[in-house]
Amino acid sequence: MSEPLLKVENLKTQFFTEEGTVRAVDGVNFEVNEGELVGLVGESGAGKSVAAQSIMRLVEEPGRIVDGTVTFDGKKLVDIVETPDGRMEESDEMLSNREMREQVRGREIAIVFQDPMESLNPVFKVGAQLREFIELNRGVSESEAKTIAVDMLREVGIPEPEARYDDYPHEFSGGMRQRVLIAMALACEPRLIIADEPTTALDVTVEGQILDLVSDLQDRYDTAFLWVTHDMGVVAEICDRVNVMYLGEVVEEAEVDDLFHDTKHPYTEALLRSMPRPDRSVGSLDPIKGVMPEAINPPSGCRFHTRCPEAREACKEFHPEYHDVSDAGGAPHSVSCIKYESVGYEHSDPLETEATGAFAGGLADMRGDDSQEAAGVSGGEVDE
Amino acid sequence: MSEASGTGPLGTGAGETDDDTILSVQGLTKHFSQSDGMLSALFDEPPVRAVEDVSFDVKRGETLGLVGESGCGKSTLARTILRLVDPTDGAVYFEGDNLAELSGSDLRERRRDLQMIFQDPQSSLDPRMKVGPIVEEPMKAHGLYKGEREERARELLEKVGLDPHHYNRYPHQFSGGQRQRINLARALSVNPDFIVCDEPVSALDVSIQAQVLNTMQELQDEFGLTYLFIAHDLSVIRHISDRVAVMYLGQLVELAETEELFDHPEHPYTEALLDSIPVPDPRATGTRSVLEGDVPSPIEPPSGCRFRTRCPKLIQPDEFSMDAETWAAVREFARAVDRRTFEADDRGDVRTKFFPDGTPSGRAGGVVDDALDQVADDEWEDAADQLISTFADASICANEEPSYAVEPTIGDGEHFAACHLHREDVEAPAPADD
Repeated sequence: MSEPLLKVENLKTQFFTEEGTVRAVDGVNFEVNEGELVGLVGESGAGKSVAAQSIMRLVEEPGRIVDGTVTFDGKKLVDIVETPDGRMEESDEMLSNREMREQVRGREIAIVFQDPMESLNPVFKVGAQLREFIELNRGVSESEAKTIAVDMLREVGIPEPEARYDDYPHEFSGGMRQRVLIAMALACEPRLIIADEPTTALDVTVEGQILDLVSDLQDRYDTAFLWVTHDMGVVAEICDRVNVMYLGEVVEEAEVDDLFHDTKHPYTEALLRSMPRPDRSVGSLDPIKGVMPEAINPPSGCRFHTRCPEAREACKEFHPEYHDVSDAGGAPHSVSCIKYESVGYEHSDPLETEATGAFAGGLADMRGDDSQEAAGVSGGEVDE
Repeated sequence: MSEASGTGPLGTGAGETDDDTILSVQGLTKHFSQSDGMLSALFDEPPVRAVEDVSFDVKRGETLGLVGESGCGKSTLARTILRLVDPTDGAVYFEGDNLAELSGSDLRERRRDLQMIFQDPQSSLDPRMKVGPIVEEPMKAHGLYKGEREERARELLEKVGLDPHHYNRYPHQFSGGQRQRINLARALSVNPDFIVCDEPVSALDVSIQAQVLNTMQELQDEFGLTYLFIAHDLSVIRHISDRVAVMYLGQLVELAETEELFDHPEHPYTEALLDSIPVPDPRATGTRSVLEGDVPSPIEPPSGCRFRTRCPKLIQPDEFSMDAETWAAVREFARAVDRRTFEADDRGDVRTKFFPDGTPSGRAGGVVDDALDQVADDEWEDAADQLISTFADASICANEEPSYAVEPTIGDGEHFAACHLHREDVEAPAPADD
C-alpha cells in the first residue's frame, strides 16, 4: 500500500498547568489514507480534540507538543526528535510556522470546529468572509472569488445563495452556519478535512442533512476526513475506519464493521453496551462504572483498569502495547490490552473493583459515577 | 374518530383528573411578546407562539417522554406546566387543581408535589452553597421535616448514589454526573409525586448518562414517581419512556406508547425524525430520509399543519388529481423555486431536471409551465408565489389543523397523530418502511 496521506506517530501533547502536567495526548498513532473517512472517537477528556489540534499545530499555551511525528504528504508538520544531549527539539525538517500557515492550513488541510458561531466573525458578512478566504488561499481576483463563493454556498445547500451572501452570521441558523464552514473548508479543495465534532451542536434532522452532505461531497471531491466525535451513531454511519481514544491514548483501531462486530478492547465494548439504542428497546443499560480519571495523574499500567470489567492484577503493572491483532490477511485491527499479550493476564487474579463486580462495599452498590473513590483509586479529593 | 377542533389527544374532557391521571394539560398556550419595553405598545409586534394549544394527560407512575428539536417549545411547555411562566391560555390540572389559575400560597403549596430538574447540572446549583444545604433548601422553603432535614438530606444523597459524607462539599467538587445526582436529591427532598426532567442527561457523556438513567429508573420504582422527561435524543427517550409525545414548532404532532411510536410512526415528522438518527451499527440497513429546509419561525407559523412546509407527504389540493409521482415532482419543484436551490440558465434543463416524465396536464401543468417561464426570466418571486398559492396553500394541510386518533398497531394505548393523511376520505398512508 502506498504511503498514507496523514501519518501520526507517537504524538504527545502536554499542558503545563499549575497543578501539574496534563498528558492530554500521550503517544498516539494513527493514519488517514487518501479519500478515506477516519473516525477519532472517545468521551470528553479523552484527548481527541487536542490530538486534532496538534496535527494542525493549533495547540495553545500552556499546551505544547512534546514528542512525535506528524507526516502529511511527505511534509513533516510535527517532528520532535531527541538531541544527542537528551533534549527534545524540533527537527530541521519540521515546517516553520510560516510554512504551516502558507502551505498547509486551509490549502492542504482544513479544519471545521464544533461551534460555527465562534468560527465565523460576527461583524463581517458571511459571503465576504468566504470570499476573502478563497481570494487569499487560491490567488484569484475578488470577483472570481465571489463567483466561487456563491457556487460553494449553493453546493452545500444554502437556499438563495446570492441573497444570503450578504447576510451576517447571526442571520443564519446553526445548521446553515455549519454548512458555511464546510463550504469554507471545501473552497480550497484541501486533501484532508479535520472535523472536530461538527454536528454535535446540531439537531438530529440537521445533523442528518450535514452527514449526507459530507458523504456526497466526499464522493465528488475525494477529500479525506478525520472525523472527531463522541457519537458512535455518527461513526457507524459515515466512517471507514475508527480510532477509539481513552485518556490520551488510542486503545483500538479497526475498520468500522470490525469495531462494532468484532470488538476487541473492553473499553470499546463497554462504551457500545452503555448506549441506549434508537432502533430497538434495551431492557436496562449497562453503564461503564466510574468516571474517566484525570490525565494529570493517569492510573498505572493500563489506564482503563480502574473501570474495566475484565481487569486483573496484571493490568495494574503492565502498560499494554498497542499492536495489530488481526488474523493473517485480514484488515488491520490494533488494540492495546494485555489480554492480547503474553504477560500473564490469564494467570493473574481479578482486580477487586466495582467494575469487575468483585467489590462488595455496601454503599458502592448504589453508587454510579462515584465508584472511583469507593474503589479507593481516586487521585484526589476532586474527581471531576 | 376525527376531532378537528385541535383540542388534541386524550384530554379527559371535563377538566378533572381521575385516579390514573396525575396531570392533565388542556389547550395550553404560551405566547411571548417580542419586547417588554414601552415601545412594544407602540409598534405592536406579533408574539412568538412558542406553545400552541397543547393537550395531553400524564398517567400516574409513568414516564412520558417529550421529544422535539431545539426551538420546538418543549422546555417552554415544561415551564408553563409548572407555572414558572404564566400560560397565555389553557389549563393544567394536577390532581384536580388547575395550576394555571392557582396563585400565591395555594400555588406554593401545590408546587411541593411538582419538581423540576434542569439540563445544566453546573448552573442549576449554587456554587457557594454546600451540597447538604442545597438538598435541604426545598424542605426549608416548604417548612417540611423540621429538625430532621440534615438526616434526610444525607439519606437522599445516599439514595441517588452519592456518599452521604459528601454533605459538606461544594458542587464544583463533583463531576457532571454527580451534580445531576445532587439535583435529583434536591428534587426528591420534598417527596414530590411528579418530576419534570428537562434534558437531564444531555450534557453528560454516554457512559455517565447510562448511570444516571439507571438511577432515575430505580428512584421511580422506589418512590412511585411520575416523570415528564424532555429530551432531544431519541435513543434516550426510547429507553426511558412508557409513552412518547413528539413536538414540532409549538404543537404536539404525535403521541403514543413507546414501542408503537418508534415502530409504527403515523406522522411524517416523527418518521423523518426517526429516520435521521444515526444508528450505532454499521450494518444497520435502511435509507435515511433527510428533511429539507429549516424549521419556520414561530412568530408566523404556517397555517393548518405547521409541518406542511417541509412535509414529504403534503396532500395535493382537492382540485387536482395527479398521480403520486407527478404530485411529488410538482411539490419538489415548488419548494426548490421557493428556496432557489438551483440555477435556471436554461428552461429546458430545469424542466428535465424536475419533470423528466413531462409536466402535468390541465391547470396544474399550466401553472408549472408559467413558473418555468418566469424562473428562466429570473422572476423567481413571481414563480414562487404562483406555485405556492396554487399547490401548497390550497392543500387541506394548509387550511385545517389536523388532529386524529388512529388505531394502534402494538398494544391498546391511544395513538394520536396530527396529520391529515388519517382523514377517513384519504387513502391510508403507505407503511413507514415504504
